[in-house]
Amino acid sequence: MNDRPLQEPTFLLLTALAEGPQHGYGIMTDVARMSEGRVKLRAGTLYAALDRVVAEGLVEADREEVVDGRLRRYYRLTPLGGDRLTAEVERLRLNAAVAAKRLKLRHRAMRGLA
Amino acid sequence: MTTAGGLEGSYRRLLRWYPSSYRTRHEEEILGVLMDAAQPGQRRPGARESVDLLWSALKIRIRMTLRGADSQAWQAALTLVGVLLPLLMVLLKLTEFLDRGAQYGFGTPADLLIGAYGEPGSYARSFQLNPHSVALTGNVGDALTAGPLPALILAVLVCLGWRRAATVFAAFVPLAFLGIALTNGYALLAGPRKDVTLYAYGLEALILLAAPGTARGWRTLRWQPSALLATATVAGGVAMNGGLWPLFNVPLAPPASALARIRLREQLASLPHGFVDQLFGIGAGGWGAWLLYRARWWPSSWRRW
Repeated sequence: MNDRPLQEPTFLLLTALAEGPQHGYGIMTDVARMSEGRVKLRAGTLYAALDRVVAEGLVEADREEVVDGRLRRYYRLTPLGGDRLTAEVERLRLNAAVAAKRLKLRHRAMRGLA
Repeated sequence: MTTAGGLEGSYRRLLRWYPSSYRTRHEEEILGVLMDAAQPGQRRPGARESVDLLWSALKIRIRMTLRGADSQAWQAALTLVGVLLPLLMVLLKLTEFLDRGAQYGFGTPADLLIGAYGEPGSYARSFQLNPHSVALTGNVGDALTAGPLPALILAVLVCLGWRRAATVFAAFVPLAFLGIALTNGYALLAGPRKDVTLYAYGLEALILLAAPGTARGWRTLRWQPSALLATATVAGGVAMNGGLWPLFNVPLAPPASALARIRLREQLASLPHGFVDQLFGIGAGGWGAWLLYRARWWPSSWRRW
């Protein structure tokens, strides 16, 4: 499996699909909500990212619907995509745990100095 | 036409930049997302949205081309080349500066900036010999093609992993030179050393577009594949440029006179430069020069010699 760390937009895209299939606009709004408006995927960027993760086998098309005369294609995480996201979450969790531990030591040392 | 109809038409025009096979599958879907995301009463696509669509269309075009040739190995190789190429370009400038400087003097910072290695006073002389505007545009053109600054900036951007900025900058350099050449009536082919540099910038822009791994900057470089690629490049460059003999044209006997010592020092200083020339194929009879100037597919008016 590719062991490169995921870039944040890709991480959020996979996270948006972790709960269940979503269509393009749903992913866009979900990513903005999860990142509290910090990451805003525009349509071009979203579909370029989807094109890449589909090519890598992390995401696949789920179903299509027509709503108000417009096509909506839903995407879902593949088992490989689920594993990749799990590995990334674990990597981030370990890094965060180490950082939190060291910060706690730093705060303790600073309190000792004060 | 209604506002929504006008907006939809504008989006469709932008989506025409995507490859047709991609559009067949995704056009209606992307259009739906764009229309869902549009503000009420919006009449035309925003500037950022338009740039985002055009940029993504270009990326998908390049990716689809590469996938045709397939794929993971290409991506890995491109990623590596995307980081190594600007570093090689800096090396080319540095060795050229040391070689010429050791022989003819290093000149002023302005001489260095315009790439007049070993030609002290070139910058000042250009203003004495030419009208101010001609000297200025000529110097800007030289700074873009022969000067070290663009290569340094590009290498820093790539090493920091600022892929988008690096891509824009790599594309800007040859386009800016082209603009200067066309508006001033200069020859489009500027000379082997400058032309190879310009093509390298253009090539780098395409590589950065196609290889998402370059976003990791210098961390992309891993010992094994980098060493393999460097070895293959050296072997290819040397093989295509008549072997190693030009690099070792140094007398074995110790220099007897002061003049011989100076000559030896100059020859030693030229070794790294000769080596890098071999890689880029721009030494006398090199493959790069042949490709640029001897190949029959160039229009004859573009050829210099």
